Order: sequence, then C-alpha cells, then structure tokens
Amino acid sequence: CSRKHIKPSFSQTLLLSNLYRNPSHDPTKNMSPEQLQEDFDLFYEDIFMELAKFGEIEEMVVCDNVGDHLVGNVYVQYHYEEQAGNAVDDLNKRFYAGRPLYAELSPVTDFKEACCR
Amino acid sequence: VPLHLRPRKLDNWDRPPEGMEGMTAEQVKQAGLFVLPAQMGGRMGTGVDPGRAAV
Repeated sequence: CSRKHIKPSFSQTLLLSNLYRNPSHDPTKNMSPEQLQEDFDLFYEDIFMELAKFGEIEEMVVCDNVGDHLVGNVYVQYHYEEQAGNAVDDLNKRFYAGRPLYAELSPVTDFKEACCR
Repeated sequence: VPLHLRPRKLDNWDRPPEGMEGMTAEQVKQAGLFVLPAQMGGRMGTGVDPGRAAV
C-alpha cells in the first residue's frame, strides 16, 4: 500500500506502484479468462526477469485490488536489503511500457500478513 | 536456462512515453504527467459523487 505508512530506510521489500494494468479493468478490451491469464503471465515473467538482475528474489506479488493506491502494485522481496535498495535507485530512473516507474521500499515482510488497516 | 539468456516475449522495459524519448524518467515525473492515482490526493476527489455525498 502506498498510503501514509512509515517508509523504511532499509527493507528487503520493494514496491512498484500501479505497474500492472490489468486488461480486465479496461472496458474497451474484452478478453477471455485464458487471455487475461496469458497477459498476466507475460507481465509477471517480464518484470521478474528484469528484477532478478538486482539479486535473488524471495517472492514477488502483484496486487489485484482495485483501490487507487493498490491497483497493479508489484511487491518484490529480495534476499538482502542492499539488493532492494539498489533496485529502487535504478528503477526510479527507468521506464516501463511508456510510463516512468515509481519505486520505493515497503515495510512488508510477510505477504500473508500484509493487510492495510 | 539462465534468466539473462532466456528469450523475452515482451518489450516493455525502458520504453519511454511517446514523444518523450529524450527525457529521463525523473524529468517526466517532475513534469507531473504521470502522477500516481494515490498521489493525486484531493485533485481526483474521493470517488464519491458530490451530489449524493451531500444528502
């Protein structure tokens, strides 16, 4: 979540805000469940492969929530804090699919417990 | 297959917005053209229809 939480200076977890554009939220696109899954798989793979350059990825999650502050958010947990830090610095200077990336560190340590209150 | 040798199926990385090919990502963000929905704050409203909210 990108709401007013405390932003940590060190974390293994990186947040890329609103990165995935789920075609099922686009009323002009009429895609079958199979096509949606394929679109998502391609996206996931594309992101994962690039992010893996910064270090070993423990876990990567893409939000399916529709709320503004969560929609399409990608959370990536690295093995080391340093890897996440390097990734934030680099990604903030880059584009993805015609949009600039918004990267920051996230306090989330366990995705199962991650729930915005 | 090592990840860096695996063929890519998408070409979305480092693709700048159309017409902004010469700009850096920082410049584009500073220009305020790609503000995240969560950062819009009051400008976007709350998603509540003002007419109904008043009732």
